[in-house]
Amino acid sequence: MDIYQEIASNVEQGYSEKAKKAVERALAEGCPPAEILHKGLIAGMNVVAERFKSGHMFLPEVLAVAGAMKAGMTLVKPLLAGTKQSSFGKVVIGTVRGDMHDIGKNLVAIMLEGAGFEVIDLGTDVRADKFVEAVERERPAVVGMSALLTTTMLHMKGVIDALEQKNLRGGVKIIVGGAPISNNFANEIKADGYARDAGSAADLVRSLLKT
Amino acid sequence: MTSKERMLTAFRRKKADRVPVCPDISVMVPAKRTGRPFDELFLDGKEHTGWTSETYTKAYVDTVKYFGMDGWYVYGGLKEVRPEGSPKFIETIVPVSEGKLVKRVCQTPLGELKEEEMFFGDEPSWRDEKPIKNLREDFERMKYLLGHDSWRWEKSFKDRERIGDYGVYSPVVAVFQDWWFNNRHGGFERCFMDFHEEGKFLEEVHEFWMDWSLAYVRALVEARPDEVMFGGSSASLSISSPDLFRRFELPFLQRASKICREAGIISHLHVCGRSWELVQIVADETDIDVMEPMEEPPGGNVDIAEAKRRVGGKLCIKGNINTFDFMLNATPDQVGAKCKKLIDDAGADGGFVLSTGDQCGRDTPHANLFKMVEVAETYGRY
Repeated sequence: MDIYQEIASNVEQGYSEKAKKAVERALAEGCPPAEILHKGLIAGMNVVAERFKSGHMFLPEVLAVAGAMKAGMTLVKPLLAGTKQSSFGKVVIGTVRGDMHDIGKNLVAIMLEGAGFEVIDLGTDVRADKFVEAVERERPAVVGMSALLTTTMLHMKGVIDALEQKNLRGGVKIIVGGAPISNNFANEIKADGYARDAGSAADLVRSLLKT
Repeated sequence: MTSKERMLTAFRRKKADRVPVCPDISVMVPAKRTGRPFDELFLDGKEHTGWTSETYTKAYVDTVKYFGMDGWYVYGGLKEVRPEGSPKFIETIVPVSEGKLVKRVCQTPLGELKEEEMFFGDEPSWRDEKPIKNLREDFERMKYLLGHDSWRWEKSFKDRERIGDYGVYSPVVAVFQDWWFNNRHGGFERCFMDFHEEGKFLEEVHEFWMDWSLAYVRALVEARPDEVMFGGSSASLSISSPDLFRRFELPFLQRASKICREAGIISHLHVCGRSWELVQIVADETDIDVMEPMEEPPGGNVDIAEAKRRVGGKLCIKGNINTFDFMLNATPDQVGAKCKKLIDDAGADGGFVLSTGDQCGRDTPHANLFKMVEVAETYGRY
């Protein structure tokens, strides 16, 4: 097993300490940080994302894996700062106004980070003007909105309208998700995409950005 | 048959006069029907032992009568009898622009426990702050709140007659993960990382919790409810795993359901969302009598016909219509067709309650709920 496979394997199994030590060794051996990220950490996370999406892995296991990925990332990230490999793109994510539910949104953030995207998490109960401010400040490639309630999902349209009013809509792709959301609803409010679960969210962002 | 008799007959896996019909309307459908702000409904200032409030429980029973459905009253329980001066949460209600913020503080000999819950006017309440922040220190304080041993409860249910013959009286005992999620601050990631990083300590917590919970189950059984329900959304495989179920829920369910079985009380397990992987375990390894809501996709993953084939001889099945999409958006005709198919798939020989997945949404069309009742009363005759 080469060092990249060892990193990927430790990530897959959620072994934080072992993943971190393998990354340290890879760096000490002179492996390029970008290769450690892609061939090791992200490769491991990709296997997990597929297993989760197909129902063969469960959320607590994914969280352990995300912890291992983060343990490795803390060593690699500073070395990649400012390079093209630092991230596949930036995603601003939040649960819309009036909605405090965060499980689905947090899971999407974990899967996106695991897939190599930089995630700016605005939290829950996020008003339209806060999404607008974040887009102006962060200039993300994608905005992701989550809602669990049929009443709060209606605020997603308000966010899209607010971005349009500020002429920011053209610069970002908008994705939506959450239990009551459907593809039809996403089309109605003119979002760019809908993901039915966290595993598909990373695929959706990849396809929208064609990374 | 009365609704109570009909439900109990099905729970015993026998044929009632017809398939019972009991969509899970808690808690938003009855709350909306009152036309009152939800914070006012749930913070009514009246003494109530169990989930929600006295005012809400009356609204639930009114709603059962309004739809003509068979009721399932999961809001009651036994009041705990604590020695004078035992630590308890003291509430302060603070009006805020969105509703009411409830601040709770409990003084223990080892220091303070705090939690905060926001009650909205038109949405379910939300707990912003939970008592266990520092894992070990706060759990030691929780032991004072729960009492270390010699737990005692009152001998009878004060609200039992509220549902009467309109349905079953089913006090609830939360399963471990649900109890932990309700008390551990930091969201579901923190809770699951506790299981991953602090496994040994969580086993100690579990042992303490199980002693307390089993004592409560024994007290419930002595008070002779129609059934005892175990459950909680946090054990759902939509967020948890079969491994955690085996470690933390199964040992409790085995002992608790045995206590119920030996006393001749029906036991009932609620696992919403994804649950298919648990159905066979529950049927083969516990004495649980009823399992619900056995949700269909997209919220769950249960094929009800397959469930009936595999475990219909051991479990009464209640469920499985999707609430957050189908019940909200389908036409009454579509609801009717789905109900007929469910009766075809799972209704034969009894042991089936026509029902939905977890909690119909606030804006579920009444016509869809009336249609479920109509199909049970006509197509569901045995």
